[in-house]
Amino acid sequence: MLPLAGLLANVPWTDISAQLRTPDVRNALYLSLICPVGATLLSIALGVRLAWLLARGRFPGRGLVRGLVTLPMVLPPVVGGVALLYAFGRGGLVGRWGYREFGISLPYTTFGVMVASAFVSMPFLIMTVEAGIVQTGVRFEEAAETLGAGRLMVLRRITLPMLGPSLMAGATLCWARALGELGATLTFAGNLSGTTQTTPLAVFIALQTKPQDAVVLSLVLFVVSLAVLLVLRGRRMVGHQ
Amino acid sequence: MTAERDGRNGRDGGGSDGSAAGGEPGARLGVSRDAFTLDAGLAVAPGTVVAVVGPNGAGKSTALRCLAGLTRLRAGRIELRGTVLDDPSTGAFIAPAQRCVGVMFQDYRLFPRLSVLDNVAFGLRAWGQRRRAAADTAAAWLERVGLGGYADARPETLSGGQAQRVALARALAPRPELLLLDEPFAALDAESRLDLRDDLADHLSSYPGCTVLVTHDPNDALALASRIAVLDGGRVVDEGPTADVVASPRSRFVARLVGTNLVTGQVVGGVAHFGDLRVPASACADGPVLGTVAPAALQLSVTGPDDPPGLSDPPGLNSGTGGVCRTDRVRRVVLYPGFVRVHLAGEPALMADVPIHRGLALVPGTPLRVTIPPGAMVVYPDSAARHPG
Repeated sequence: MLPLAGLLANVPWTDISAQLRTPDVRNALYLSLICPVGATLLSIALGVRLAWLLARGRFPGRGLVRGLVTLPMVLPPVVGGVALLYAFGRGGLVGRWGYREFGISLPYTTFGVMVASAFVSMPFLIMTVEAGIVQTGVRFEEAAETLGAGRLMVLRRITLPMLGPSLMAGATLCWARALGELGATLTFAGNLSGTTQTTPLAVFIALQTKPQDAVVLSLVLFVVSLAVLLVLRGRRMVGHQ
Repeated sequence: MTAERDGRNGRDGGGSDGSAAGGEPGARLGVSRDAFTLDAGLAVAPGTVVAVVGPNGAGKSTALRCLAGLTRLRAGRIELRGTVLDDPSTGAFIAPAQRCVGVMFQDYRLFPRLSVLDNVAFGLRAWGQRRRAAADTAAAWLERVGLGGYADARPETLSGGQAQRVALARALAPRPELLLLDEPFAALDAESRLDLRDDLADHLSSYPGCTVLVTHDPNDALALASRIAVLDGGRVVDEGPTADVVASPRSRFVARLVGTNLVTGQVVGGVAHFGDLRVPASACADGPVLGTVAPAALQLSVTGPDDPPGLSDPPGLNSGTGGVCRTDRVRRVVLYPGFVRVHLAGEPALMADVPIHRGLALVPGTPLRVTIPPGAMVVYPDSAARHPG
């Protein structure tokens, strides 16, 4: 509580709107709006299937795959950024080929920020969704099958609706983690104002030059995080009734 | 006096095969998973209910899952009205969604995110009915099970009995040819069980298809099923008309369920030998036999310590009016409403029911004389042993 009080005590409440309108701040906020969303969508696209395989699949090495999937949760983000650089960078394993064939280069682009954030935050989505799938079990899907429902109907009317709550929770956690992402993003995508400088990066930089900006941006992040927490808790309490 | 029962009918559990049952749906089920093996034959005539009973782990639920197609056979064959549903030897397998099979699960499995009406309409929609028609049919089914006013309710707001009726309506709405009921009353309290059993019997009597009922409660079988198949250790150990199976059980499981003594023995020259008990059985041919005697029919008399130890020696046969008697000891005394059940230590182990005021005087170890009155023990051939496997 004390650090938060310190933050709130130093907010320049009077010219907060002016602070929010400076180009650097606005750029950072804009990037922090789209990058976590992009990272979350990326995580959903790649992660739900993976969660499904982990929950339902019966293949050798499943434990190993689960370990690898959760590795970014414990890996220092900076290490993740370096790893991404040597995978998707211009000289990296995949990046070299992509650059040669298509002229695509991920590092130091806005999409690169999304990839770096997704790398760090996807495990939150995968683990939440996997737990949701395991908890739901196959009971209702079996019942639907015996009633004559084909695969598509089972998926559309049973599986996906049941997955909803855990997907929602997982996506929110994933998004929140992506919002605060600093290390991997900085390492992989750099700190280019207007392209890759998200709010946490801007806070980090501003603290050395314009502490007022840092405080205002921190306040924004704090309010957003608080809102997410309240929404999540609210949902859970509704679910318990 | 002895009673003998001929073979229940030509069809014993192990030998029935769907293809041989004249178009009746039939199944020869073979499943093995880990240490468990199911090897059971089952045949059901249209419009009838067959109850599959047996202790936990006997393979009842696995049998049901095989019939529904949720578990694939390793060996055997399932046939429904001339259509092979599953036959690993030819690779034939019809997926659950393509089978005309309705299942009422033990936990009902009503879809929590759909209304009661949509639950019942689900199967109709899956089989291609238009939304409007499916809703109308589903509403009619809800009316039929007495839940016309609950169309918009959510499943979680229903009582156990209501949920059961919705599950039944949902299973029956698509008009399946085979209805599978898995422990239909397991999730209900004892009180609502009785009423719902009658309700279910009414609905089943108007259902033209075949029904397989899995239950551990003989009362379910008595109220609902015309035939019983007793499953134990993955095998059908007894099969026949419900009344016969209950009246003269061939398995310890059923004997325990109906609360009777079941002993196994041999007939040699018109006398049945059950351990040290010898019972006249002139109507039985030589060979393995079973005997049942109601616990209430046994007469106990306490023998004093000064009585000669060999009171009933040589054990057994007394063809006069005195019946069969042997000396025994009390192993355990259990109090029930209205009587005391005395478990005896001798071999074969018997239990006797006595009035409470007499039973409470007995303690473990009390020496007794047991008398089986003439005619109290029913002796009949052990056909399962006659046709092993």
